[in-house]
Amino acid sequence: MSDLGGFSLHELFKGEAEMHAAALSDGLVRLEGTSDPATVEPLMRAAHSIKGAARVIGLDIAVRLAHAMEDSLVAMQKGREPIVAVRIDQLLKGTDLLAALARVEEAEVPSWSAANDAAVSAIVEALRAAPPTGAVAPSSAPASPSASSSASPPAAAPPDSASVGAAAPGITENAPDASGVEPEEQAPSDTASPATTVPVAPAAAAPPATIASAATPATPSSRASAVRVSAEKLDRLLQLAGETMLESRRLSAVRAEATEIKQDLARLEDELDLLRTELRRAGRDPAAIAPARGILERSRGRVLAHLLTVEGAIRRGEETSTQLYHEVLSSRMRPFADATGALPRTVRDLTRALGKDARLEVVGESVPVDRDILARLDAPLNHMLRNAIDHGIETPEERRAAGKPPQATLRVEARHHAGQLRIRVSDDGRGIDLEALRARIVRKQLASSDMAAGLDCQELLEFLFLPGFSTAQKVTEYSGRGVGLDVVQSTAREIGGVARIHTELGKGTVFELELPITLSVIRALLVEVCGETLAFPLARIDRVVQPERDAIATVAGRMQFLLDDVKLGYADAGAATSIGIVEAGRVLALGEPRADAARANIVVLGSGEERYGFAVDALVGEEDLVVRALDARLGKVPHLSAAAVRESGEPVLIVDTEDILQSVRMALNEGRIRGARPALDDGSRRVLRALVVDDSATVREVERQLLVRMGFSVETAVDGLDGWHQLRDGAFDLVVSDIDMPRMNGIEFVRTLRADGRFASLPVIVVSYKDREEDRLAGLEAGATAYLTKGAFQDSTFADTVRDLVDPSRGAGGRA
Amino acid sequence: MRRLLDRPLTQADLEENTANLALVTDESRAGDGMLESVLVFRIGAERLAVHADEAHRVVPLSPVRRVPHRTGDVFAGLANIGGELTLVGNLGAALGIAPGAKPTHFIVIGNAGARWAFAADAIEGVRRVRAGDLVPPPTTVRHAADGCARCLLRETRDAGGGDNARESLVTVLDGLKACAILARSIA
Repeated sequence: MSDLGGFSLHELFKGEAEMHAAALSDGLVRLEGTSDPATVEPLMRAAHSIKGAARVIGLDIAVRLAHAMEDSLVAMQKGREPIVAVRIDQLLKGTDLLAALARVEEAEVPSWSAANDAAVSAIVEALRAAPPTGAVAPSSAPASPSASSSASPPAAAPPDSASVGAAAPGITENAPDASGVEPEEQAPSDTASPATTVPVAPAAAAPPATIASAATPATPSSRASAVRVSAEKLDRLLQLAGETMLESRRLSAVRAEATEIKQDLARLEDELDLLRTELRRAGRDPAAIAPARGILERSRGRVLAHLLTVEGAIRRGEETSTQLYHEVLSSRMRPFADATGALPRTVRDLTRALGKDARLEVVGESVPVDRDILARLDAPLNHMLRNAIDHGIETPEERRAAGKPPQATLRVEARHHAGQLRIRVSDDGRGIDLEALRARIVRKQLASSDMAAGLDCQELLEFLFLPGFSTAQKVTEYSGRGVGLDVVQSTAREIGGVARIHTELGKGTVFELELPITLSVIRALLVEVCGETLAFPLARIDRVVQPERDAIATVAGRMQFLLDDVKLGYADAGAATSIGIVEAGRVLALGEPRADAARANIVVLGSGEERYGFAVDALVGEEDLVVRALDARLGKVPHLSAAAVRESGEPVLIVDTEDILQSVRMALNEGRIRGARPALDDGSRRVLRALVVDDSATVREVERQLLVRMGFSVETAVDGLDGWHQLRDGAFDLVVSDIDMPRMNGIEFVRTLRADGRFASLPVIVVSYKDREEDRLAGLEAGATAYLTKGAFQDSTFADTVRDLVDPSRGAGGRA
Repeated sequence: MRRLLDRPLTQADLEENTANLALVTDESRAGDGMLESVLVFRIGAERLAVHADEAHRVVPLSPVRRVPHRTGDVFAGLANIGGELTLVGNLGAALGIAPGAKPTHFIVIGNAGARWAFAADAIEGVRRVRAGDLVPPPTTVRHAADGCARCLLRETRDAGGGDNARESLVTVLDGLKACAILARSIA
């Protein structure tokens, strides 16, 4: 799971599960004492919430368990089942398991799940079965009612574990040494076996038992060293650290001042010496100025000492503040493991579904990766693995026939290399048949057969990144879903890196991503445009040229200059490219260009044929910039991606090169680029506001992140009542609400808001776990504009619906 | 100077300071209720004020970077204020006040996450005023949609000599409303 908003989703889940498990545990004990079905309601909700939160992060084991518990509680509430001690016990055991899971770190979840799978299955089965025959009312329950109704915590009172049958060993877990082994032995034919198919990385070939126990000793240290800090707090720390560094540099001015005083004193001394000579010449006693000289010397000595002290203080201050700054900067880094947590599961599911056998090795889990990059690695990693399993590796039979071990090896590897983050996903499968690929390219009419014949290995493989290009013979559920490897390349490019493929027929394929180590510091070219300092990320610049004014000619009314590409290895020998010039000031609507210098300053953006020269007033230089998001209140500002503060303290805006190129292309197509300023944007944008109403922190966070990514400013509310209060106070363009919530549920909330004329046409999306047709109808009847199930987050359904209802480009601006 | 500041406090000093502090408390109980602190500044020829606790920072001017496609008459751009890139608005333009010759300081107002800085031509300082010196703004101002005047501060200023004492008015702004007006420029 990626890292979101400071806390990973898993951390949010943990918090939520812990809270609800505590409520369940208390409530169950109380329920047993009272046998009052009315007290079941909050318990149902707690189980339901855990289920929902688990589903969002794809934690199936918890979904299964919580779902069974919820069903059982519903049956009690409806009176279909008696409230009996045996049942309560089972529920308490389930609660304990959920509570235990809430304490498991994300990295340990796969091993925990494997180790506890049997225990969970047993409880689920026990809960699904009719209550034990001959069960009696709790008051006379055989299972030591005194123990369970006493004040002792339920976990400490396992009265009759025997009645839960096979589940017992797994449930009484908490003894890590036992947990890993027993379920495996107890239930060898059970679903615990996937662990053998997909061992978790560090203990690759070892049996699952060792994985579970091996993972345990490793965690306490990592747990102890992790502290929750929100992303905003961290950003603020970074700002302050930057400011401290700036201030300490300003102290250098003090040093300069002191140095000047020292020089003045030296001059004064010279003057006194002259005076002494004069006195002697005039026949006066030169000793008369001796006292003055004495004072002067003492002063000089003191100034010198002072200067040394100041000097030392400044140096130490600069060192410390610079160090502080870099430390804070590096705290934005998270271990690569944060992006790989869900991969074993993906591999497991896919290999099983496709009848293949592979083990996953993750190398470099501790490699620090910028949190912003980490957050975007999910999709590409998944696609590369899917591709490897679906197309890369063979079935066990095929592998055996090819003389390979039947179990394939998938390797996900991260490391820092030459100032870049290199991520490799490799398989030892069949490799890519280049000739078949060539034929496919011709068949798909992506190139003529002559041209295809001339393509080399790398050029052929590039085609795999084209949207919709798949080498699979058939479209499968797993890798042929319209999105594919193109996501890998586009993500790499967006982050400012590249994606590459290496393959050897029969031996395997390697996907390689080369990404910047951090997105928070970029190397940029600073330029001046109409008095403003703007930064172009260096990685996005094709080149910078300074042609003489004479070299700029007008072709068809448009300014251009010839760029001689030969020396630079572009195009055919002897060819030169005509690069059209666009005045940066006009595109950015900052003002008219200055054309007084003898040479123009042109920043060339784009690649290949699609290159444009942006004329700027002056080149300021290169600088490392710490990137800061633009104030959200400004919305998506056309042509800008972020802001930064220079070392001098001066603000600078960072140009969104893709966006500006896009605008120029459009303006050219519409013939607007000449003449006065191209009307690229009417400037009348505003940020769209969305209100997210859900009682689950996890779901709220997922929805918030999705909407923020779509350009919304998002407020959240914890239930219908809170939502209604917020809605009345602020102008919202979209409401996203859950159904099951305390105080005021989603149906009542939607009804209430629809009853108010102001919100009659406000788009309201209801997102619920309830996927029965009657639930959907109830939601729509209440006035919801759309009804989605929470599975909608897994794909683009949610985003598409939002886009259909509210056009984010209305607020986002820039791109048409 | 340095010695003066470094010199240890004597018992007499302490007593004097204590007495001074106690005096303020007495004063605030007296008269028309509590004393309020307002920061008085000038934009052009107008004298304005905000409540002292609404003025988040007062800092010397620093460069303002124009934001393409956003900067206009009211929204000026971004400035680095205390390490934070802060939105800068032209409050004078927003309130229809003729601009002054030379702004000197930024005043930062607004809640966290919604801060605005605006340039003031001169900072007169923090004034402690009695509630009784504050009068409600005229209805024309109070009912105007873009009004952000909270109240008017009546000041009797000694203009040169005994009999020439004149009464002048300072408009005390509602900081949040002023922010809202500035925010309209980027909405």
